[in-house]
Amino acid sequence: MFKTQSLLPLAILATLLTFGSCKKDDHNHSEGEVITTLKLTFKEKTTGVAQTFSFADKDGVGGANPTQDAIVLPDGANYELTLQVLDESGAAAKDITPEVIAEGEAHQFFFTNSAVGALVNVKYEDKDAKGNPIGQRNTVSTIRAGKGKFRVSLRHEPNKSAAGVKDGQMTNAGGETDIEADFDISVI
Amino acid sequence: MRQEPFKLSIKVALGFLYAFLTFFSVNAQHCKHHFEGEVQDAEGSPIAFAGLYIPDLQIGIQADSSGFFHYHHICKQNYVVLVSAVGYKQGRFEVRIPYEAPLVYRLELDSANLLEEVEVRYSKRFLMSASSELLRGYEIDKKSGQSLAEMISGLSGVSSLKTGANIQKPVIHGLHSNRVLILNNGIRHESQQWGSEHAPEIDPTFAQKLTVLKGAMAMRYGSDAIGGVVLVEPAPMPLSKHLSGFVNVGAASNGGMHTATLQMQKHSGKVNGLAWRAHGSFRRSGNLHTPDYLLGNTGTREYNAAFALRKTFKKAALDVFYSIFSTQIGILSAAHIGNLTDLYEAIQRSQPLDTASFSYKIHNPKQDVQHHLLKLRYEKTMPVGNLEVVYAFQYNKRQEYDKHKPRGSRGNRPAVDYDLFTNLAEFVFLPKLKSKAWTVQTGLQAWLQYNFYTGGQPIVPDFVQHNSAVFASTRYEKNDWALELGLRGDLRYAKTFQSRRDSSFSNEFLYQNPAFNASLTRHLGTWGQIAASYTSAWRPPSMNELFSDGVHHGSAAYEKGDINLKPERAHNFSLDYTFQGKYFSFHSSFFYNKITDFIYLKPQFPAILTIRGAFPAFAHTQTSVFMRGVDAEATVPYREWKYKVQASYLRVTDKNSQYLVGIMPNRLTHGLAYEAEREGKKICLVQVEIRQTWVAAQRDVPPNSDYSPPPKAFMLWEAELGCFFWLKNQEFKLALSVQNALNMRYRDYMNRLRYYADETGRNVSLRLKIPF
Repeated sequence: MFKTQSLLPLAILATLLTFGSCKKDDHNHSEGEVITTLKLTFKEKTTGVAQTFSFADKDGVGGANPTQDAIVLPDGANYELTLQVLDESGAAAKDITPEVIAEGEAHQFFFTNSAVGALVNVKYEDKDAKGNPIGQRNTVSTIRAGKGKFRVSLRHEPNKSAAGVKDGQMTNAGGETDIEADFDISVI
Repeated sequence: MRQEPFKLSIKVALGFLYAFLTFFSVNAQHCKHHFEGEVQDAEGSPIAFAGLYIPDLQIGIQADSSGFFHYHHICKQNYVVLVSAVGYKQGRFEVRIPYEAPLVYRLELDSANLLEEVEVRYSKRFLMSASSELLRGYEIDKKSGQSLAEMISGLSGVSSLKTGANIQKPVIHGLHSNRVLILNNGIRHESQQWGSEHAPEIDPTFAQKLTVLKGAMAMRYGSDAIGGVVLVEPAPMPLSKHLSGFVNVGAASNGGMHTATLQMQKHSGKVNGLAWRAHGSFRRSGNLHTPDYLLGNTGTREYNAAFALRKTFKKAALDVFYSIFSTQIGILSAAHIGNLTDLYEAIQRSQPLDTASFSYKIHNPKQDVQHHLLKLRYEKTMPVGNLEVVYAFQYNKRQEYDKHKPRGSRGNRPAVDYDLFTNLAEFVFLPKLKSKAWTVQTGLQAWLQYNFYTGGQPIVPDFVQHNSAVFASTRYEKNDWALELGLRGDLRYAKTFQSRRDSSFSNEFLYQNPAFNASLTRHLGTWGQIAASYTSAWRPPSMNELFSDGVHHGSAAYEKGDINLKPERAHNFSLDYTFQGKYFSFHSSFFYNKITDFIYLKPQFPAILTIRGAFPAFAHTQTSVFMRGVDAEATVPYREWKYKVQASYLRVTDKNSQYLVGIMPNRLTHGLAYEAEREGKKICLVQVEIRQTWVAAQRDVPPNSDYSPPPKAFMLWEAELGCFFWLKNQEFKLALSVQNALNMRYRDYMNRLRYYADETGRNVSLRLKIPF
């Protein structure tokens, strides 16, 4: 009962479906840069001996649990603490630290938790373009023996002019957390 | 020569009529309403001396020699009008008095030649028993500038799931996202539906009618919509050869929102002619404010355009429709957080840290979304029945920008970028049956979908998905009884393409299941009707439920998919009762929905540790849930006054009698409306309405499932003032409204940004529509 006229739309339809279904073969995606690793290097100021502790989650969120070093520092010493932020998700590790420093006004590291002020003191030693701290280079002095937690946070777009933020207090900083890693620390 | 099945169409231009809501009858002798129109045949020629008859009033009149007719002094009510003319089949149409003016109402009388109204008419006929809610004409105009979900969220049983004020998704009886289907101009709207922050990409200003079907009654549209269906329908194409259309402009105080819409349409005026319609709309808004502070980065910008063509042939018609929706939405910057510590800090604060100054600028984080729809529809009338063939192509592009541009990239690039292509084809056949008591609709449907993403960790992988379906519905009417039966079978195949560093792999899924519905309706004469229905429908797991593996900004939760999820199945029972009395009308809808293997996010222990800190973990899991509730509405008219009260109650538990998260709180709305009417063109029609909405606190939540307890109950006032007036024979429709009139400070459980900031404060808006 169908006339040729009514077949026309079917033909149009078939053509469109064929065109619409052209396939992309490339399903590879670069995941972009992700922060997987935080490295803390404590360099004893008088002896120049350096120790490195890291928090790493190379496969990103989920999957295997992150690996975490325990920090052990002798009492009554001064250290230069430098922080390194890496992307180790790919075959070759990428250092993201220069990017953090370049965008210094939009980043700040904070050091908090039970060990800070009790076992160690931390002082910022670097400045962004506006003269505010970034916290990538710091001085750490061990003040008393004991065990505690040492938390390193990296905030993106904190309000550096808010009360206490320049002195390392995170309460009023706001912004978005890029890194938050808790280390076990022993001062011996 | 064989006599052609006669085509008769009546074109009713309901002039000078005042519209808003249905009032039920007052004393017949004193009613001031009238309506007029024209009876035409399919070729557009007037049918002289056609007879019209309203059985309810027992008033018959005759059209004049030009086909014009005029009914005087009739009351506000719904009427059925019968139309007859020598040599033509008798036809009938429904008219609601008072009606919107000027509205071109068209109906083709011979079912063999139903071209325009096939879909509308059959969807009506097939879903008479379904619980549905409707918004049309001026009710939509009054809300121009609002999103689709916002417009319908006041309807009974309907609410919206919000991510801030600018992103809203419709929620029907507590279900949303993949469980609610939106039909835009008859086409399944296909977009990145998986996120609560993905609003439907539809311009509601193009719609003349918004219908919400509660429950999965509509076998034609897909069984996966176990929550319900939202139908977005434009006005029928024009029949007049004069250029017509409208301009609608609006402004609002909160956010400095301004909006403009222009629509133009015309028919060639010839037999088997060509009709066209062009539509464009624009909306822009800056930072919104709560009663106490401004919300940083909450501006939006939206541009929409649509073009429709309709060519009629002797016994066929072809429709071509294209629309583009394009929006840019700022996300409250305070809500973009890195980890749980940030979230708890935000909850501790009474207001966001970075409260901004007013600006129309949109910064990161933001969404940039475009949606294209191309639709071709061909209808043919044959001696054996009507055939409808539809093809639609949709392209959805979604770009989400994080606060932090992707590391290692230059310039502002999106963190995630999705492209979704959907091809849909549909064949629907309506056989012409000898028995008038039976109506049958049957069809085939297929769609093919491709999803591609670029950028960081995907929530949904690349995939190709194919769905084929066959469906049939039938309706049998005898005396005051109507029985509807529907059956649908779906076959869905999906293949994913994932890559992680150097390896790439695929998963394949195949789902096939039937869906079924049955309903029985008893008409109680002029008093109303009672209907009982049962639907069994299913939904396969969506891609995000299968594959999620990551932390989404704003939610501060790690979500894990499960590729072994089974489809969920809903068994929905509902009972609807409508009473229409002279001094009182009432509608209630009871429902009981049992969903087996319901897919939801279940909290997991311990929390997951990442370099950004610890996150609570959730896994997509299945259980059986029981949803029961009632929607009720009562109206009491008294002269020019009308009091209306509406309530929605919903209770959801799983098989262990545990509550679920994110279920809409119970709600009560009541309001008083006054309509002062004047005959003639000179004086403005004044409509005033005051409404109060009370939303309960959601107490039915599982313990320790949320970061902070659900917000307190709140009460909002809103008011509206409508006025139609004429200046030099030009009609103007003005609407002034105020939402959150008392500038209440509150937070809404259904808003995902409730942790961060209050809801928006008072908003005064003014809209002007100029039809031409």
